[in-house]
Amino acid sequence: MRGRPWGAIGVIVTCCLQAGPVWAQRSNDEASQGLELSAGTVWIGKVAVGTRDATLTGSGGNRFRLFSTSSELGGATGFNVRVGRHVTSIIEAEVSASYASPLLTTSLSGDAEAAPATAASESITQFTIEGGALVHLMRGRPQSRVLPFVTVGGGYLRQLHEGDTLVQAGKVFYAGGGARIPFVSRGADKRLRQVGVRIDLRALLRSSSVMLDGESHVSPALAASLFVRF
Amino acid sequence: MILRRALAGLLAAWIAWAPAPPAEAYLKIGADSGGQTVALSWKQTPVRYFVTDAGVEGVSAPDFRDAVGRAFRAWQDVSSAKVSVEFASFTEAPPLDEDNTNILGFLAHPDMECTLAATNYVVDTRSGEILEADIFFNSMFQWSVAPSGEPNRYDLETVALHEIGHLSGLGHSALGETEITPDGGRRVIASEAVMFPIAFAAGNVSARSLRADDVAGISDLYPDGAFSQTGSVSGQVLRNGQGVFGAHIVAFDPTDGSLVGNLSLDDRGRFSIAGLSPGPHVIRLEPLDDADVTSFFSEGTQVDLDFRATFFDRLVVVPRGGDSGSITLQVVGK
Repeated sequence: MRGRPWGAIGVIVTCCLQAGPVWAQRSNDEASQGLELSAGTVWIGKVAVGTRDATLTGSGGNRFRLFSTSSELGGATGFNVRVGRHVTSIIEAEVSASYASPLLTTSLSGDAEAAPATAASESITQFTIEGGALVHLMRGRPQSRVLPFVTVGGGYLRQLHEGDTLVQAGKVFYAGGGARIPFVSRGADKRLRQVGVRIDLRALLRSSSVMLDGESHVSPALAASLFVRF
Repeated sequence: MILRRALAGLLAAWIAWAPAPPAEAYLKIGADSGGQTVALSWKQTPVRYFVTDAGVEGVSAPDFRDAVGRAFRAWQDVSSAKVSVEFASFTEAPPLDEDNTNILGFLAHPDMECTLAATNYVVDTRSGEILEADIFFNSMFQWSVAPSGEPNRYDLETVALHEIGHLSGLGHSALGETEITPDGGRRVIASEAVMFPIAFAAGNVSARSLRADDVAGISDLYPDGAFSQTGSVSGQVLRNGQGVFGAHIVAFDPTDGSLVGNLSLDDRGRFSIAGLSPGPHVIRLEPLDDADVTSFFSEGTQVDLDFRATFFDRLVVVPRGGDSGSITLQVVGK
């Protein structure tokens, strides 16, 4: 008899201790369903976009260098918005848009008439619209506070030159990974299921006429967003 | 109608050995019309031309006709320009006579020891219309029509390509580099325009094809087709707040490496470069500081030479079918 209260308490304590993980499993699996909206900042790293000499035809058919150029699309910070929805238990389809304003700079040197070396630049206004897939990596570990994922996708790149004088379109592709860190996770019956921070690190491949060498170039991109899931 | 016969010995001749500037530009030939400058061009096409039925050693009259025909075709093949010409026939008449026919042929001009060839016009100076044009090739030089050229002989097709540019209304381009020779002359070491005023050495055939600067020039005169998809850069060159006349401004397209230029052509230092591909361009300017100014301007024209070559510190974006908007280029004295 004297031992039964302790036994009852022990059962209660056990139940309480177990309640946490059970609730967490529901929140991270169920709360992460539905529609996700996120918005935040994005940083895109600089990328070299071509070197080319200005040359004349030499008398022997050789190329005579008048001056040299080396161009770079600078790093830039912008912002992005994203909408995502699960299509399977671990795969989410996403649509996103971003804005940034990098500087296109061409370094000029080696002039045959000794013009001082300098850099000529212009600002580019860059928009992207992308579609992609996000794959959750830790679906079976619901107690985790960090929910990693990998992403892949591609889309449309629109770049406006300074003064909106010329629009150039291209393509953008990305692959990378990241993590969601929920601050609040609630059951699927709640209207607002999850709130948190999302970090994305990507390799961003851009191809457009702004790439002066006509090639596609890869640059790093890092995004930090606040997300809400309904 | 005012007719003016102009033996354009300097403006329209291709000289073998003479002072010339290391600079960049295509230039349209202008005529003064009541204080306004009008560009010379043909208004009625096709332009029918005759070939003098006389050859020289190494080049028969049919060889001459064929080489000239290839040179005309190069200009006609520019997709952004409408150049229409037609070979009429051989003729006994020599070039340079004022006879209402356009004649190309050899003539001996021992007095013009530096002139390989020259173009001669009859123009309406009010409208700029070219009414007649002849081209003479100086038979005092050795000529060749060999596909790969011949040592010590000037390539007829190359020189014809240059002179036909003049016949069409183009002036000289300064897109080239020269060096001073021990005898005080000037030798071209590189150029990027058929319309550069000094020819490569005898035997060289590397200037048989038109360059971007030539294409822009002819397209600016006779725009057609894709020209409407090109754009222009305009602005003015200032030194201490004053306009600079005769500065060479060149637009470099870093996407394809093409160079197209022009000159500032009034006291306010204003210029315009047309026929440019849409996209960002590097702008560079330099003076005609070692040039024979008369290769580009009339005798006595005052050209500002006292400034340093420089780059504009902005990339200038050429819009499709429009102008960049006026830019101001500041230069400083040497």
